[in-house]
Amino acid sequence: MWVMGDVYAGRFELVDLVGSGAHGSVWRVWDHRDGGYLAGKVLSQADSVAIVRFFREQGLRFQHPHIVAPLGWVGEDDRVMFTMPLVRGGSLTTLLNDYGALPQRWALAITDQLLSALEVVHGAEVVHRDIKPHNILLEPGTQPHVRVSDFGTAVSVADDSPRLTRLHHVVGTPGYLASEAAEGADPDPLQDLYAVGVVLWQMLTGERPPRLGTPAVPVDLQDTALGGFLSRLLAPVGSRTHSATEARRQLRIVPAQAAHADEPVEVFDQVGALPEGWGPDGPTPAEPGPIATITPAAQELIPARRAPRWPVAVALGVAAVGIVLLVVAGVLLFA
Amino acid sequence: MSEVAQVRAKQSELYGAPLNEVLQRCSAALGLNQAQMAKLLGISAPMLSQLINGHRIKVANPTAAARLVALVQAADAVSSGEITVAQAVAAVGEADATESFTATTAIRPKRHLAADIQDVFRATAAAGDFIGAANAIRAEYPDVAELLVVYGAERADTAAAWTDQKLGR
Repeated sequence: MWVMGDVYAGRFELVDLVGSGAHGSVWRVWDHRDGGYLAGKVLSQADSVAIVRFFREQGLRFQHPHIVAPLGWVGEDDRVMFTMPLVRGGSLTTLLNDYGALPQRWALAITDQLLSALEVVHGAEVVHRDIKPHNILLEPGTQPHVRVSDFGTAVSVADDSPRLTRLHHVVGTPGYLASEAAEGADPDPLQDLYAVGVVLWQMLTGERPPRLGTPAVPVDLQDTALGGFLSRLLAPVGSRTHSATEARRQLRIVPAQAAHADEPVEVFDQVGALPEGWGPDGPTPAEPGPIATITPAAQELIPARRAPRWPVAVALGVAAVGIVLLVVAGVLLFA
Repeated sequence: MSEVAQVRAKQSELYGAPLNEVLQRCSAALGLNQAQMAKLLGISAPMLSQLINGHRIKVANPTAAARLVALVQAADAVSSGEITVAQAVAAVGEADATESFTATTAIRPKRHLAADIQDVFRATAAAGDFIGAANAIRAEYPDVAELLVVYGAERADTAAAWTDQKLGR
């Protein structure tokens, strides 16, 4: 179990838990080497094999304003932690819960940003496979700025990639899964475009997509440019918009209906204030005040605020062993 | 009038009182803190603080707005001793299920897997046929015979229980 105050690989100290997902938890961590707060996603080794492989193959290729690229990863014991920039505005799920349907200006801008991220991902012959609001993070502020995250299910579809890396079971989330993917088709960038269509539908309606089947284009959009754009993303393979680049080209000529005079959308900072003992520049020295008045005997009863840190050399050694084990596991699994 | 005072005046028009007062009352009656109330309403904690601190007027998401109405009603009912806190919390959680603006899938009661399987069987042949088929193969394939009878001829609740048992649920 990882707990607050632990230091991983002699470098990343867990500050507080900022989120949790199906496969692991996300911590705010302090980077003792370079300074600064990061997000650290903690996964079991089994869950991390795919993402380690992905990161090894692709990690550095995805430096993009609308992608949360992993910065690195460290292994320790049976856990792996991926570090990435701390994106503070929550996910698109949070935004939809706060506002319901979004103004068209927001929905279209977010869609274009998603597509720009997918242009890069698909350009590298990678399919994300799990585009959905939960995996779309936002920067706080009054203008839309999303970042595609969670490449744990991403897969290479390059011609020269080993066939075995294409998993033979359906991966994705019901509701966002194109029908051909649900029926077992090989991963294809077109399936990400379908999921973008579902996300756009969700931003326009404020509703959750049906678990099965394709959501229907809202009646009031049916004869509009936006409705046409949406239906081409949700269309069956063959008539679906064939690339992220083509979708962006179509989107450029879709006008956004002016929002009625509602309160403007704002993405709030969803990462809480730093816990006690932490400041903008990292751990703050313990306050000497009240402790000084406590008798030495009583002081011994007060538990240390943080667990003692491991010597850096030992921790790095452990991390190195972990990395070697992971690489071996990866080779065994995917060779 | 300060900006916050203006927001609170508009909140009074919409919700009968400023949201800091409304939510304070609910929080006291139900013994919930701000984070728990945000969760119950289905909005983020920062959004709830914005509303409470008079930085935003409206609960924008209609689902959350419906839950707020339910939350106020439930808190009043708890205060007057009509229902317990647990019943109140459950009532708020169900609020959006009765409103029409959520996805239709969210309001449809969950159907058991066995019901769908039985539909397929019954669309294929009559119950008597499945019993007959089961009798014909029982000596050699007793488990398959049981499956035919359960999905082809049994009551829905029996089929559901049998399915759960098979799947170890």
